[in-house]
Amino acid sequence: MPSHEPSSREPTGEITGEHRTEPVNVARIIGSTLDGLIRSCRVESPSVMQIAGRLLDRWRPFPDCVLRLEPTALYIGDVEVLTAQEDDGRWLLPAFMAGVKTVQLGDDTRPEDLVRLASELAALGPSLASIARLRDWLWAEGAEGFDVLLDHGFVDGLDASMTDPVRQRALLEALRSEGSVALGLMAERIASRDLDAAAARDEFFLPLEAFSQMLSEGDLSLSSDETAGLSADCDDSLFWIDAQVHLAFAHPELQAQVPAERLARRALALVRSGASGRFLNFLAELVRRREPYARKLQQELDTAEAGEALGMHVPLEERYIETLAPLLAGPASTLTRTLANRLLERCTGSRESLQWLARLMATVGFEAFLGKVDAAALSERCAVVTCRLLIASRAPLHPLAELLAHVAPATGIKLAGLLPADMLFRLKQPVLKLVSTASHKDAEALLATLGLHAQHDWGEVLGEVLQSSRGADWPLPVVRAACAVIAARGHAASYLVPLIQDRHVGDDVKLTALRFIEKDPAAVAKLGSLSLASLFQSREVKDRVKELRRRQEEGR
Amino acid sequence: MTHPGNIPVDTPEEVLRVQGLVETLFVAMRTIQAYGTEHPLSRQSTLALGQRILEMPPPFSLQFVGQALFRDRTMIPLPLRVYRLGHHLGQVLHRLHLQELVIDRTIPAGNLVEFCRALSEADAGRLDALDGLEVPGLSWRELPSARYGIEVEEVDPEVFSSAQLALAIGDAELLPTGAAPWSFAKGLTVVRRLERAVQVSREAVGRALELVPGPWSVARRAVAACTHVLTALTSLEASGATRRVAGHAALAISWYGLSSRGGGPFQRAAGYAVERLLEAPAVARTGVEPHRAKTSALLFLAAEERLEGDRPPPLLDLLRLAYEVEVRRCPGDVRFDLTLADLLATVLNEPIEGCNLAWSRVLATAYGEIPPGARVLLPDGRIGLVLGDSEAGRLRPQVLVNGAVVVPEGPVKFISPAALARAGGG
Repeated sequence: MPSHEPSSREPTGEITGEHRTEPVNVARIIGSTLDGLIRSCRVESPSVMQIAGRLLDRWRPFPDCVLRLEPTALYIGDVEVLTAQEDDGRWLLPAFMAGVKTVQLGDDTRPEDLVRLASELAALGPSLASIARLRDWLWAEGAEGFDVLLDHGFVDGLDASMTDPVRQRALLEALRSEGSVALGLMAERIASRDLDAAAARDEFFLPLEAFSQMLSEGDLSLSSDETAGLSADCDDSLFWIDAQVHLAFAHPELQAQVPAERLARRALALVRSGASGRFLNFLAELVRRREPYARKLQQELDTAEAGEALGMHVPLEERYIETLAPLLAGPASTLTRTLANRLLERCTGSRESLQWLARLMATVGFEAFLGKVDAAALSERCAVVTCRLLIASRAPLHPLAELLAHVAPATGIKLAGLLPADMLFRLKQPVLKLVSTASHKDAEALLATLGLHAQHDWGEVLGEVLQSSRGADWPLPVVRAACAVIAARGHAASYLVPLIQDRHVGDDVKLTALRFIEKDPAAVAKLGSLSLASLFQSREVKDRVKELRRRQEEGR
Repeated sequence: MTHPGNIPVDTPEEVLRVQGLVETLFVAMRTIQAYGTEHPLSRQSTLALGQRILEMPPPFSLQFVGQALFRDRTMIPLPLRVYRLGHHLGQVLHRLHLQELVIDRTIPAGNLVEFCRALSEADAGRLDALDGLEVPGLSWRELPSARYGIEVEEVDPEVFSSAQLALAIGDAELLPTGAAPWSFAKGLTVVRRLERAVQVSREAVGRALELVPGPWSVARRAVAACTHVLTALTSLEASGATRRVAGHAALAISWYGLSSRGGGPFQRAAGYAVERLLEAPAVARTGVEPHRAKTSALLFLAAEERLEGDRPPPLLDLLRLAYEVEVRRCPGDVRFDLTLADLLATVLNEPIEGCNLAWSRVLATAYGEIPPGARVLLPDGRIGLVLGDSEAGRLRPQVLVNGAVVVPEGPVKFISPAALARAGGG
């Protein structure tokens, strides 16, 4: 429409797609529900928002569906969906007189948009003031959320229709003649003192030769890039949002009239089309400000969609590190969480971007940055690269612990494999958690690796865990692997024998522990000193202990 | 006379009188169609029609154009029932190739019967029903470029643009002055007219702007500043919303900032304008429209001159350029004015401080290859006014010389006011 940009979509005016089988019914429902909504707005019914929601549910599946206004009827495609009568559809004629030709849903129409449009249509009456008000409202982009086509030919085009071409042509001719005559007589008309005054003034020594030369050589034309750049600058939605925000900051009394929700909505629409560094600047400016209006805007912009888009599109340039840092160092929010994840995913693909990310993390603080990350949602590749980055950056242990604790178990096993022995030992809690959550095979492999770390006594660590958990937290193969580490580090007597003594430990765990005791004479001796009757309930365990004792006697 | 695009508010009584007239005319036509001219009911209905005409009272005219009804070229809002009758009458008149009825004085009843009979015959399909008929006090005519029931398409760009421009200047003269709050409706009316004129033909509107008779009043220069912005942005294919906002802002700044000769500083003009805009009461039921918020915000930025990085936002450059051009249009202390070509030559040679020169280049070419209205010297020594581009070449535009439009044999040369002044003084 003249007041609203034509949609990029080419409206067909027809209901298409999967609902083709019942287009007429759906179209009529849309028409009558719209009229119902307008009538409800007229009587200020409290249910207008629900009606708008229902209408939107009906209408949204048909984004190409165009409402076409005629003076006495409303059409969708060729179907007359509403006929103007004294009550029903009485808004149609004045709306048509105001120049409304077609109405189509926008990309992001919401129930409140429908209510806004319906309220203005409800207020329409057959008076010039009312019609003019609607026309001005539409021209002033009032119908947000819709693509409305205003007909030049009806109200405004009448100027041209009513212009008497004969009279107008005569006026033009007279104008031309007058201009020409005036030009011819100019020397006589201008007083001498004016000429003197003019001749003395600098501004009349015009560089017309240079201008003429520029014109003849075509120096004035802009390149297509320059033209496109200027045009894009002028239409930059963020510029307009930013300008309105600044106006609202300077004039708080306007804040209610320029609602943060509406501006945020436009900003989010912009983000959807590919957020730029300027959007980030805008956001960072909001973060810096303390006014409730700024806070409200921030809340409205706090969406995963915005974080996702920012993370995807923010230029990985040095200057944006400073802009991003306060945002990511602040309290966690939906936006910052999504942003942090998206940045990790995006930046772990190349060396340059990884370096940029490392600088960003260092500026934000590793803990603060990874505190925003939803590790469970990270891909394995990204987690691995992040882990490497943290190791290389000598980051504090906490972020690594968080990473290990929250990534998928299989990924965690891989990360554990990357950690130096010393670091791994200091991260024993998340490592032990991994042992519990990983697959048997992965856990066995990890425990085997831990057993090889000579400088750290994983046997003692595992022994403590096994003892306190009585082996119930781990599956048997994992218990077996843990027992192997415990026995290999010479802790069988300290941890495995008490396990066998414990009446609450399952037989299968005890039998597993027994297998690793037999290679440790001290443990076997300790076991031999215990009274069978008081300690063992199971025949199988008793038999196995007896067997051990017998072999010990034979050995002597 | 009011004009239809700027819908004026008539009193309800006047509107009701027109509606009643239309209703009675329709009834009279149909009654005669059903009962003939001699039936008492037919007489009665035409008498009622005569009474309605008397109540109007004459002289007045009715136009049936574009499915709408106008009285004295002012649109009349119609309730649905009367609209249907008026629509039918409009179709009947259209069949007879006429759109306008002019009633100068009271019409004798007998003549009214004849007229209604002709209408009823036309309604039945007779296309020559009015041939030879003369009704004292009543005349009718076709509005040549008007159509009934279809969009107006056949409008001469020159006529359209100059009409819209003249109307816009007239509207601008009604803009609020002094400390009164701004009128968004009036401002938008001016912008809308200019936007349409520019859309139809940038060259024609440039020509009309420079050559329309009358002094370079503040209203005309404010309209010119608005036109510069709209033309530049249209040539860049900027969105309609941006064009309108920037045009509106340029209009407001210029309206408050320009004086009869010269004008005040840009920033101060913008500051004054934004105050007036912010004082304007909201009229929409549903709050402030985006256009209004954006126009105020743009003026606020212009007043604050907030920099974005190391440069002002690009649109502010354009606003400043359009304003400064119109400030310089009428320099103080002298009684003649500069043409757009003079002004563009100046700003291209000495860019306005802090202004992106690209905008001057955009404006220099936006109205055509050579700015219309420029005074030029033809190769044969005659002096003329540039009307617009020709196909002959860049420096061979259409030139108006002594009332005739010519395309010069060779390149023209611009003439500066200083040269003219010196020539005259000599």
